[in-house]
Amino acid sequence: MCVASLKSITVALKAQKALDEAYIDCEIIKLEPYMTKKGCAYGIKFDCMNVYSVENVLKENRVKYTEIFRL
Amino acid sequence: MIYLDNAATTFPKPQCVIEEMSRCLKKYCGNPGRSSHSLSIKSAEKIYETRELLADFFDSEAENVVFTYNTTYALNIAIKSLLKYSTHVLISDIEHNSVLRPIHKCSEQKLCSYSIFSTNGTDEQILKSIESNIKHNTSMLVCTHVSNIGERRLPIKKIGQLCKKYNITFIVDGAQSAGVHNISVKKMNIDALCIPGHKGLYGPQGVGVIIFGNDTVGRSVFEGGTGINSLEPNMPEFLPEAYEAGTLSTPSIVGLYESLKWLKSLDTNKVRAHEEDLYDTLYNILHSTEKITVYKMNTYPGNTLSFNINGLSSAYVAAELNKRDICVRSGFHCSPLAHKLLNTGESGAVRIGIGVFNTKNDIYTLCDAIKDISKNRKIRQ
Repeated sequence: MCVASLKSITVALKAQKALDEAYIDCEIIKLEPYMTKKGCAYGIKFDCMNVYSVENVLKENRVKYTEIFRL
Repeated sequence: MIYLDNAATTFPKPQCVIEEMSRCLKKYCGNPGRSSHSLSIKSAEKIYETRELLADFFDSEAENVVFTYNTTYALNIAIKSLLKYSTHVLISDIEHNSVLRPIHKCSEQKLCSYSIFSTNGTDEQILKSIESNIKHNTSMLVCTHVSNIGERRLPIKKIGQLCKKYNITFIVDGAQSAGVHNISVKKMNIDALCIPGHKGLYGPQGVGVIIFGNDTVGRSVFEGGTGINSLEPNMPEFLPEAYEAGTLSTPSIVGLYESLKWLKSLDTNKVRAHEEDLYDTLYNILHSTEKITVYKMNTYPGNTLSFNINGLSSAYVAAELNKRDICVRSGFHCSPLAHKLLNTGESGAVRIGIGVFNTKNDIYTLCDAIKDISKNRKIRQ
């Protein structure tokens, strides 16, 4: 699975909605400490085989992510 | 009971609001944006959906919608975060204390100076008054959209154009107009629209909103937990979290979500037409009644009307109406500037606030009661 780190719960919800509308399964999670240097943060977890689709959908919806991690 | 204090808070609330607030408290009221368990996420989802609905209603983006506790908090945050220090601010002569007091306090702290422009006359005369008060260092204009003691409405689209021309930050107090008049943050060049959930939007008390025109973030006014960037000593520098320290009022926000959907299904234009029709009826009756002074600020109708029975205090009249099961508000309505304009700066007035649930019969019953109080004044005093 992959995780895209996002700056807030608001952005995570925006990302989830955009991905739902594109029929891409995802889940909002709290990031592990190694994924963020600033403390609590949110991300969306999805199947890594969708990574390019996820990147495109997020870009189209002007959702900025910080990084994509492979779990 | 006849409720005519809708300018203070609308009552009753739609049943869907009551049901969803209750469902939230019973079923899913986790702390939004603090955890990843299902209750926290469900609360956060409902809050995000409310941001989307508000953004759609007032023509902005969901991320630019900031929740507060009421309009006063919203105005304080917008003013104090966007104020450029050592500059000049303009406010109108009908501002509520929620605008006057924060600006006055800032001026006492030497953070800014301020001037008051006149709202008397035509749109062009109002714009002229604004332009004549603009100084080389004017950086902010804060004004109400609609007065809270009468029908006076400011031309905020034209004022927004003027602010854009002079590069002035434009903050609008939409306490009396949100849900009644159409407002587009983008088309009206509004930098921050501050509105209540519990008045014309028919939501519950405990939620106010700032809708920013863009994603520029000023200085923080309240600091605290936001559920993100917890290891950083400073507040996040992005909307909406930059201004949302502490736990939001999820039950109030989901109530607002339901009321917005309800209001949308009614059509705000029809709501306004209904309220203005009742206003016209009320005005025509009271205006032609002896010993009553009706305070009309402009020629067009509204949904709020102030009056006095000559020789009687507004508090006495409101108390007498309450004995007849009619709720209105007396006094100064936290609007010393506007009362000064009406020459009621020392006496105050009785305010009637019409809402969507009022009927013609409510107005007739009210007018009969007012006439009765006026007629029997000697006996009652």
